[in-house]
Amino acid sequence: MSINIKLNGKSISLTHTEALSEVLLSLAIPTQGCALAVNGEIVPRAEWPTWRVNQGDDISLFQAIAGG
Amino acid sequence: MLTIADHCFQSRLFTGTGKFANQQAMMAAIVASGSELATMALKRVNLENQDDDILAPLVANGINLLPNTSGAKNAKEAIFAAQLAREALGTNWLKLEIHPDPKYLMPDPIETLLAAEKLVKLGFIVLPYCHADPVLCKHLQEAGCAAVMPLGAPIGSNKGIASKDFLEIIIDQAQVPVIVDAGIGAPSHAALAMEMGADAVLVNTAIASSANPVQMANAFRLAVESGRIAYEAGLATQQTQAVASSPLTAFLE
Amino acid sequence: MSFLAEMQKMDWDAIKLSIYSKSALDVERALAKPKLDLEDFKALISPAAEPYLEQMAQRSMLKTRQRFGHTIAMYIPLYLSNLCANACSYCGFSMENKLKRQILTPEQIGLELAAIKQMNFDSILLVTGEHETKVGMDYFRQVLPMVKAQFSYLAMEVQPLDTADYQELKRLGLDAVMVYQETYHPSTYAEHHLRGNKMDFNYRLETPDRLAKAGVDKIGIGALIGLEEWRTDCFYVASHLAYLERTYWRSRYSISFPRLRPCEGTVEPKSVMSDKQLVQLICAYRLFNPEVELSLSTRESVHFRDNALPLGITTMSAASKTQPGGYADNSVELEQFAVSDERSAEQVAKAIKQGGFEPVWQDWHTAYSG
Repeated sequence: MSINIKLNGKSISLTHTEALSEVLLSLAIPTQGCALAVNGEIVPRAEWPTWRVNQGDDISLFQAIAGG
Repeated sequence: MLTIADHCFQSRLFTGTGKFANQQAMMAAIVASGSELATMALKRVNLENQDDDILAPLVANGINLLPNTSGAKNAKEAIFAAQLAREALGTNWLKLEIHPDPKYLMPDPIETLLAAEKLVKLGFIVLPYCHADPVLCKHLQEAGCAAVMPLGAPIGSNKGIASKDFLEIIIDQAQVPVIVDAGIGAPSHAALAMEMGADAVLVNTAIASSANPVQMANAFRLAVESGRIAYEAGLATQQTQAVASSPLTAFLE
Repeated sequence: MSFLAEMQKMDWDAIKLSIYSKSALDVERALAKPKLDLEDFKALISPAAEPYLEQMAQRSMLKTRQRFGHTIAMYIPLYLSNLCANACSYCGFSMENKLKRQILTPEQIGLELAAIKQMNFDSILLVTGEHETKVGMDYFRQVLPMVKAQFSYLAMEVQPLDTADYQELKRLGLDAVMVYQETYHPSTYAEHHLRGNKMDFNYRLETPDRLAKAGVDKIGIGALIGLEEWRTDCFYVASHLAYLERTYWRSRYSISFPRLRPCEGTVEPKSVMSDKQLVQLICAYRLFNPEVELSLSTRESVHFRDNALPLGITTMSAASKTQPGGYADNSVELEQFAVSDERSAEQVAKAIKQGGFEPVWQDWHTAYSG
């Protein structure tokens, strides 16, 4: 059973549901200083290891960048 | 020493991190400026081409982080951005800025006040960027903002303290620190703001877009220090003329 | 939050010393600044400023014209009752004094209002002695609507009330309240307020805070000049004003400077303020605060009022009677204080016009209040 999700607009196909932290790890995305929202709701970092993604989830990962 | 909320700052020059050539140039300039507080934006990570990490070098240099809500067009978006920022950076300090107008980047007073009220209740230390509107600043203060950040001139315009008359009123009436933000294009502008009694200034474009950002940052550092010293020493003022022809107090003889 | 906390940080003796230590240089510096602070105010009320009086007057006149133009707002006091439960050494209405006490009935008030309306006034100041039970909220609830029906601007000078009372009176038409601390020196205050609720220094001091919280439009403060060393007391008034403006930015403020005058109480002033010094004070207030209203009553003489008017004054009373029922019936009864300027409203208006000013009778219309 594959699960299709979006991460920052990019489509990703997973073979099975994973925790958020696993998704990020498998994509080798550094997450220091980042925040994450799923379907518009912020998920605190502490919950990343336990929050399992669902079919159609739209995930946004934010980081601090240079700005005024 | 400048106190905002529960934090003391030695430097009254705050800086932005935007518009520099690269992260190294940014850090060199910020260090040269002596700034202890830098603003940054939040955006979605570009998975293909990741941006430089600006946080690590800032934190390593002991510079406090002030994330902004740049990009938000209304209170709802700003509140969301604020919560992301708090999550990402681990700080509840926030520069609230809402500009639905992408051309001139003028801050939206109504959405800013609405967002400020909610964000204060959510436990943020809110530093709102706003127009130099004295009544708006009073409302923001009453809402619980830790400071007010009225603009000197439009963002990036380098026009200086165009809002001088209104900043004077704001500085006179404020019971929280006043940080003049936006439009400061030259060290003399920053010195003027400090001489007027502003508590701090925020400078980004003027430093980042200079041919020599490190030198310019140093110049701003000196200007802010000198302006503040002059203010505290008490500026001599010009005499105003206009003396009526006949004595007004002769009747007392 | 109130001025009491601020005042507790202030040291009367240190302030007095500071005022008397001000030099000519301090005065000149203050006069050169576009915006003055409390230290500058000290310099302007200090003895060192006396040689600069003409210069102060010139600047003060200019500042007042810039903000207020050539208009003088006219108002009249209406004494509703002289019954008082306080014993204040300096006041004709002290409960210790023997005089015929009365509280005007609605009918009597009606007669007073009619007499006053003849004189063109539209701004009225209701004054009572302080008697909580007989002249309290029930009386005010009855009186305010009948007065507001005929006058656009209604001020009161009565006993200090609670915030909720002021809110209620505001709904009934209250626009302004005058509450003078008399003196900001607590132990001197205690010497002069020997019986009654007015003994409570703190409650009185916090009245402007309650007024501002209740949203009353204008708040009048001041000291009774002469009860204490006047320069220090007036500095406290200026500090009080600065605190109020900073804290309650939506309110308007007014300052009066009643000088201790003879009355039944016969109190010797602790410090005597000369006419020159009163001019100095008026100019100092104006230069310190270009927006505050400065009010001159009929306690002062014709000569003084006519000449001091251009220098900083923005509002005046005229044809005042300081005993209840004094407008409809002019028979002599004991006044609260002796009136010096006994001219009619018409005569005062004429003098104001001759001085190049415009007396304004109606400054507000109830339609604006919604």
